[in-house]
Amino acid sequence: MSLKVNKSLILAASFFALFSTNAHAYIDPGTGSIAIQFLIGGLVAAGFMIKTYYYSLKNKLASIFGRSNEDKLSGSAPSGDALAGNSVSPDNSTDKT
Amino acid sequence: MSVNRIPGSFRDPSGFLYLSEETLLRQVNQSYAAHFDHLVSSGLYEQLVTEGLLIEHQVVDNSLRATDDVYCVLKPELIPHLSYPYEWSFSQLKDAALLTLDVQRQALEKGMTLKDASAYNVQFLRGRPVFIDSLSFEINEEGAPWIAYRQFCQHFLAPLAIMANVDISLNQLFRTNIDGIPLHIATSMLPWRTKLNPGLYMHIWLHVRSQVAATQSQRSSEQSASNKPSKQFSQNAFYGLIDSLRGAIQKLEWKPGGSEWFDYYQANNNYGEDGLEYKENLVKQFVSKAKPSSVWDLGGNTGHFSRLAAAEGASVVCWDIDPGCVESNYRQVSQEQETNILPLLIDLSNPSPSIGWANSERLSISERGPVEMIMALGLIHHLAIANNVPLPDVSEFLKKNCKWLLIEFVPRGDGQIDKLLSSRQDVFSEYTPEGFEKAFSQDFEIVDKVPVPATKRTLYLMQAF
Repeated sequence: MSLKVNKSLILAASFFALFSTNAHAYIDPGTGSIAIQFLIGGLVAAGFMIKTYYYSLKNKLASIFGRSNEDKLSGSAPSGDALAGNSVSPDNSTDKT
Repeated sequence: MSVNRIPGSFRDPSGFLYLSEETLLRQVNQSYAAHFDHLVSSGLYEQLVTEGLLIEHQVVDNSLRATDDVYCVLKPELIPHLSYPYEWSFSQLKDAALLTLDVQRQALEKGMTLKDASAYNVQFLRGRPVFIDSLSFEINEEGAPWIAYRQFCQHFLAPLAIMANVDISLNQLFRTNIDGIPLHIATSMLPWRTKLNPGLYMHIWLHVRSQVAATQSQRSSEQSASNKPSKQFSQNAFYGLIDSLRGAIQKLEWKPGGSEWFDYYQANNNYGEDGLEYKENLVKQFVSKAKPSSVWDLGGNTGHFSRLAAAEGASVVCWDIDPGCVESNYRQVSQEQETNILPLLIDLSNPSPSIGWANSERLSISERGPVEMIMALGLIHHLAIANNVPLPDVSEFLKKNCKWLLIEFVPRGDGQIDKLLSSRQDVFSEYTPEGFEKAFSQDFEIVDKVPVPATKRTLYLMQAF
């Protein structure tokens, strides 16, 4: 890993260090583990949003074109992704990461 | 009223498990009241129980409380046999991981989050993993990340990654690391190519770098009060994190096969077709005579004989030393939706010990017994010859753990014994049918004994004194 990335991680870790000390957790969440979640969360949030829209669009299309299509479409999705994608509707306006 | 706290239930201040007059109860403490109420009023509890993801409980009278700090008292459904991640096959740990993520996702949808993600929060019930800690749910503080993320990676992702990419037996590291596999240990073993897997790169490789960076920043006191975070962990980021972990876990695969015992009954079983069928009938006959409700099938391979006992109505734990056999057995349990067989991994020459705080958090194999019947088919020579355990010691261990014993004696002249003795000195003068009966007669009454045709082996049904 480059020195630049490492420095960013140190910065992120120190940035979120205070959060972990304030957390009311009975297990230690770990400062580094909190920091990396913000980084990963930032990376995956957009992808997850697209996935959510993709599956909801797929479901809408399926309902327009009838049941047989719906079965086909939902059957083609990987189970975990379909579960996550179809069943959640997080408020996108809160995405500040 | 006598109250015995369960030793493994002390970490979480929200409540604890205890035995009251031999009934297992869980006290919910006052400090957890708001979270417990939300779990129920949001419909999350009912939803998870209906889907078979969370253990069901009954709320019982507060007069059964253990301390005055009580909010309410729960009586959870009992798990017939407790098991631990160092006894699970690859797919058992993988299914437990996916269950934890599914529970976490549904919790998020109801405004809650899992405050811990320990593999010990999962047990196997009726062939499926189930989340057993009703007090793990906490009202989700808006903008907060997942407190249990590190624990999830240590308890599930890292062990599965090293089992799939380094060696399948490395789940044994759970025995020495009660809080899961530290990520720096995982990265010290994982091959470089795992960095090309985005899920493993982010959640393990980058994660460990972040942990190192955090330690460095704490040492150099770079943080200050002005560093108070202004950013929030968005809902999309949270769902994305769970989805990403799910993808990483799902991509990890391990295929059984090629091991010494994996295809034993198909390839080389020392019985021939007639002998095997006769042995099956004998096992059924002996099991139906003893009518055990609980059975341990020690050295049970892929569960061939366990299924005969299960068909007689017993709840069976099929223990085996070979991760391939346990994996294959579990896959069959899942596929056939079998409800009364639990395949588990064990090396009987070094069985699961008591571990954790005061050596009492996780129970040894004997502390989880005794059962009504132990089946030890094709096993005795592995203990007495391959592992040099004197026959009276084998008998004593078995007696400690069962009432009925269905055991097969494998004498010299059998193909398996010849193989074991081919490369070593035969120092086992007591290892004869007479020596076997003499040793076991100290602890058991021999109820029946029948030679297995076309073999040199004999099946015994014994009852402990």
